[in-house]
Amino acid sequence: MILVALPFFMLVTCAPAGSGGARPAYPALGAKMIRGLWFALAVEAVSGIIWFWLVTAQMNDASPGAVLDAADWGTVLGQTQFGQLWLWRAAVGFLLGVTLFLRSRGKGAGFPPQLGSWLSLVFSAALLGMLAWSGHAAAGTHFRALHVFVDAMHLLLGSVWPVGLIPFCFFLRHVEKSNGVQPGAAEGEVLRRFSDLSLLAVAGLVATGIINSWLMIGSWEALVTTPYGRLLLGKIGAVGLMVVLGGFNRLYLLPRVRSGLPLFRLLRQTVLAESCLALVVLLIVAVMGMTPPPS
Amino acid sequence: MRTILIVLFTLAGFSVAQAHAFLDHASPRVGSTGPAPGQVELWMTEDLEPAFTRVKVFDAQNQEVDNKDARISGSTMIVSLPKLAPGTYLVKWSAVATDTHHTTGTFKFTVQ
Repeated sequence: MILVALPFFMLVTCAPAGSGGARPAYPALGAKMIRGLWFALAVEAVSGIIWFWLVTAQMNDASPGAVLDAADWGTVLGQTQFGQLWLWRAAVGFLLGVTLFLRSRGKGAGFPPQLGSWLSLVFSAALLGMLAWSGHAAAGTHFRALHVFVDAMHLLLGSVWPVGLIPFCFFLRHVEKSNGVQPGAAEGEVLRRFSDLSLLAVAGLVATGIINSWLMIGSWEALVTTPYGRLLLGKIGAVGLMVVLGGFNRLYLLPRVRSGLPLFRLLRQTVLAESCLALVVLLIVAVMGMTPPPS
Repeated sequence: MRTILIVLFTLAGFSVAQAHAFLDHASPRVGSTGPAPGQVELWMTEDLEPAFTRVKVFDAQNQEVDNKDARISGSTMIVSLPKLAPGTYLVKWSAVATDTHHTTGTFKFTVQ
């Protein structure tokens, strides 16, 4: 998700604060984000291989050490939906790597940085959205197209918020280092845009979350009587706390910071607290991913 | 700290909800008694991976009696049977859903 969050933040949230898109906003921060993207892509590649290996063992009902020969891997790659999806994702990951490489060489390679950034965002979004085909949504026998679409949208919106809080934290730290404790007008504009985009993402997450829950749980009763339902309630509670913190930032802190009151450090701290809650949410989501849904 | 955050939020994308393929219903019905069926058909709750899904029918002596021609399509598995003698038969299935999870199960039916 961070693979989408980083280029989205630089292109959509930050870019209008630069020079009308003619050159990337915050070049120093942009360079850090590119390094972050490389690192995230490396983690994605390594974890993708381990994931494939473990799934091959799971499909063969064998231990990971027992599925090391090419025939087992070939069967999964060539004859299963998961294998086909894995190959497509590997191809998109490769294209993302090529794009990042050309992007890092810049105009000298005849490759405009902005184009590289947009392509990075497109390939990252494809890489993440395709995960929807690996889960329950693509295996279910009811409302499959709707479920896959909603799942993919939920993942992508989650990259804008709450995972977008991570580049936002980097940005706040960058501003504090560059400007001291008070942001300039351009930085104030980025804060406003992030707040607006987060609000839109939350609305989208609520909508896709409700549809997803309806498809996965199927009844109000299962929400409290099944482990999956209880995990979902925990996730909703943690997200609710995050929304309260986000609301405090948006309605109380942001207008005061933009009008010059010295509350920037407090804003940074509440965003950091929001990010910690986001980690709790992702931990719950990870457990949900291993828990069979009731329907 | 930044590195840990990037690792955690990169791996977060892998948490797409996984389910399992369970038996929805079967023909002949689970635990039923009736005339000899020409085939056993199982309807599962998830779409299946044919390369990793199996269904077999055994008699009371634990001998496989089906025609070993199992066909897997979508969420159903079918295996044809020769003319069965009266007795109780055990159906064993092993399924991998397209979301990669592996499940197994058995049920019996009786031929009069």
